Amino acid sequence: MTRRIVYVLLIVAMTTMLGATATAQDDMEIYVLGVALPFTGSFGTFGQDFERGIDLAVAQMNGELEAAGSAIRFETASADTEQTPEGAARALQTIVQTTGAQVVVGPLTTSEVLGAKQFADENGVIIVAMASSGPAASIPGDNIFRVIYPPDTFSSKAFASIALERGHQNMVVLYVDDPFGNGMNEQFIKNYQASGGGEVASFGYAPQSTELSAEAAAVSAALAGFGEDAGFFCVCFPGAAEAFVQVSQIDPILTSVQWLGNEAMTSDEMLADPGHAQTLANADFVTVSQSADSTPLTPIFHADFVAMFDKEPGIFTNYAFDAANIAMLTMLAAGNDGAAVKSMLPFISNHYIGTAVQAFLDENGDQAIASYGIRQVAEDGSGFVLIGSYDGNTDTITYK
Amino acid sequence: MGDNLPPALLTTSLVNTIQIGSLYALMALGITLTFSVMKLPNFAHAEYATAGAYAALIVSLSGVLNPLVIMIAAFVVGALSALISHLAVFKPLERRDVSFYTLILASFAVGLIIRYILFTMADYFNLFDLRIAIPLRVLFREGTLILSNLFAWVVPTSLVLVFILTLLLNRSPLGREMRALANNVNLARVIGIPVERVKNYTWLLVGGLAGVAGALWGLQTAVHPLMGWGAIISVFAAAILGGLSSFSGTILGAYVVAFSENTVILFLNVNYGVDLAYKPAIPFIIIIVVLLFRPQGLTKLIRRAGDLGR
Amino acid sequence: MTPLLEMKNLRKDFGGLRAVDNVSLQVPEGAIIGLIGPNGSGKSTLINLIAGSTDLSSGQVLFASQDISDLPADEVFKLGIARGYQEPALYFKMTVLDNLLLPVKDQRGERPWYAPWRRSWQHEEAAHAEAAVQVLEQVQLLHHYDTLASDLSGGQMKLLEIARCLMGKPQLLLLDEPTAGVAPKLAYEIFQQIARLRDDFGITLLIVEHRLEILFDFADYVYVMHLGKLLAQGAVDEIANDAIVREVYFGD
Ligand SMILES: Nc1ncnc2c1ncn2[C@@H]1O[C@H](COP(=O)(O)OP(=O)(O)O)[C@@H](O)[C@H]1O
Ligand SMILES: [Mg+2]
Repeated sequence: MTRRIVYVLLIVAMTTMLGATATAQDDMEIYVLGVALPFTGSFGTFGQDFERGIDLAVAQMNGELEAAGSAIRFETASADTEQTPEGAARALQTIVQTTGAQVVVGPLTTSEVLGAKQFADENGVIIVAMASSGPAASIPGDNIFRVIYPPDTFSSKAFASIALERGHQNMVVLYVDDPFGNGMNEQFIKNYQASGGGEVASFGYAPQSTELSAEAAAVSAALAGFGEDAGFFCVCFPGAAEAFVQVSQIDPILTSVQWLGNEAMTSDEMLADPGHAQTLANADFVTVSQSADSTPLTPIFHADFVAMFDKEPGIFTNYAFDAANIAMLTMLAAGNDGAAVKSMLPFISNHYIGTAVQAFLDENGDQAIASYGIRQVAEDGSGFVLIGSYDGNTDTITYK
Repeated sequence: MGDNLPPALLTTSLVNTIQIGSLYALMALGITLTFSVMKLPNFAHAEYATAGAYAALIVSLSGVLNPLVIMIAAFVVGALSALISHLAVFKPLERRDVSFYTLILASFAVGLIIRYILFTMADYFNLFDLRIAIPLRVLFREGTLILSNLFAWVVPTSLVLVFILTLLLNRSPLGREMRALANNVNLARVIGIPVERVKNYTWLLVGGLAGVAGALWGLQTAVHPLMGWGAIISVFAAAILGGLSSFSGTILGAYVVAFSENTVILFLNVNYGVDLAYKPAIPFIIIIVVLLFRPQGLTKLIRRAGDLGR
Repeated sequence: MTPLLEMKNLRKDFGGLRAVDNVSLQVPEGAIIGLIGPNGSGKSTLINLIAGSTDLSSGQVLFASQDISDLPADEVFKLGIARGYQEPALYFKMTVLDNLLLPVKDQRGERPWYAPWRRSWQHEEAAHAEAAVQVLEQVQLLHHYDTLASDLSGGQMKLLEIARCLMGKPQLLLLDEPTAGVAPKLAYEIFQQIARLRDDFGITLLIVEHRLEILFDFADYVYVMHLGKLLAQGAVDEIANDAIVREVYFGD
């Protein structure tokens, strides 16, 4: 009986509190900004950091709106994509159905973006992704915008050019078997062979794999089959990348060829293990990653982030910040309405100076300004050193 | 088969089979044991391994590089997580006499909880994809055969532990009581076997072995909150090949799974172009085929020694 | 003198079926008490009620003046009441010796930190095996110590069950048809050994038995059940000559 009374009291208390907040915000207009990111899975740390970047953007925007006397406020509603396509679809659905959000920032990878695409297209919800780059999501006219971070059509050209420049007659590719990895692999083969490259042997690994012995054995055998001037291109996510380097360390072939690696492998964590660092240094390991050429906003973002969270922003966290700003600015201009946002987002985006690069969208709604840094692991394995750059718009490599 | 698989690939994949199979065996025996003694198909088992791997990682990051200390830390942490999950969840549920399916779901939930505790911890201390600081070296090289110090670590440790566990089960008073529980728990209670205590001990052993397996698995790959979960289906496939009741069957099952995931998939890849990305499907296929056509697993095909049915 | 075991107004309902109906019964220390009755009269249920294997519907069970009505089976066992089953309940895939070593309390080798080190517990195990050997001698199963329980004959299984009970040094032994499915000659031997348990070790016995001719040779006092109720009780010759008992039991 007492328990029932407690329940009743709780419900009463909650309703009054809801009522109180409702009255406090009665004359406010709330725009909900959805946030769909992987908070769990091997990209969980990215997702959590990205959310902080978005929170920072929202806090700043609300501050400005209040100062300006506007009645509009932004609120976020977030859900975990679990780093899977189905999870992303569920996350989107949850956000939209519980809050009526019209615009969602995220998800992270191309496979998640594609997983969420159908629901977004069918329900007029706009997706603003900040890091997805797989060409599979380069579709004109749909509800997906991929701002700030250019599609891999650009970087795959850079990888192909570097491979040819290094004199690799043939290549072996290990790629994560998801839309991003498949796209990178296909684009790479296309560009490599179009520019005179020879045969390419590709091996996909399942995204959930954490143990890559068989894959390493297969790559090694393929390299051995091609002979001396073959090169190796690794398109791996964190976790799998470390696991692969781990088992490669004692492979005589893999330790005697040159390696290329995708952007996610440009991480000091890849070099945390001294054995791994040495293996990658010996392999003249080179990665291509988007240049975060400083804009005037870069240091401001950094300082604001540290002030708010008392910690350094993670890599790409500013992309999430930028994506949230583009989404919110568009909503302020077009209203809290998916169709209006869709029509106006490219215009707003093309007038947005980001914290990393100028935003500019192509006909697919993808970032069209593409400039990359080329980095190589230092000889002693202590870190990545910038050795050159690649301009995706002119397709030119410039070494320092 | 060797005709169609390049020799280097064959030897490397066989070495991998032995190495990975030994680790699978260490984990799968725990599943077989919990299933027999506790009648619980424990999907949280993988998380004891992950917990053990993190214990090993943290000890190694703190500068202690003595492998024995590392393994003991892994054992203790794995054992405690298993015991706690039993005392906090499985035991109260058994008391309420819930259905088998509820227990399975509960084990998933327990796994999820441990996983996210580890996630939170790993996030806080930034412990993702790190490696237990034991460097990998080539220990032996003869033609295409390459053995690493890791191989020299993993295989004997696993085999010795598996051997000890088998002896323990078949020869010791504790093993006798565990077999009694596996066989008829009501009778065990009536004749005064300390059933709850034996269960606790079993959980300690099962979790401890999983912890050690996790630490060794962390040497093989990288330590991550999902690492155990990533291996659980393969490990379950091994246990199901053992009919979930036979030690020898489970050990053999572990090597069969590892062989399929290393040698067979490469054979299929080289000869029929089967994508390596299908590797995770192998344990599923094994599980389905076994459950459909031979639910008793490999038992009876082999000597009955180490059967928990005894 | 208060009896060692006393049942007061026991009742057990299985759904609508009243298997035991208001039964009161007393087992004095050192006695051999017989419990007889046609099939389905509730004898096994009564044993289960005492042993804690089945919950009572109502009534009270006192053992050495202690109320054990609500104790679970393992607690009852600890207090010194051991039982045998109508269908022998053994670990059939273990040896006779292993079956006897299982119930030994607080073995060193059952702790996981000792179990892998044989040296740490083998002396103790040897002592327990010694005790098991003595018990096996008592029931004349010694030469079978290494036989799998499943390879024993029906009578030997019953004896092994009794032997296992003895390992716990019980005060009271509940036996449910110890000679069921046993050759007549062996049946008589079993009873002789049972009687010796009482004579040599002072163990009190409550025995459910179908073979009245043998039971009547050994029992001190007999209770008769019929349709869950206590129909009669008395010394052996009274019961053997009781007209009602003869009617329900032998149908004459
Ligand atoms: N677990 C049970 N559930 C339902 N009915 C039972 C159960 N155990 C015994 N009975 C019923 O109770 C009655 C007494 O059975 P029991 O005690 O086995 O008789 P006895 O041992 O004298 O042959 C029988 O009618 C039997 O069918
Ligand atoms: Mg009966």
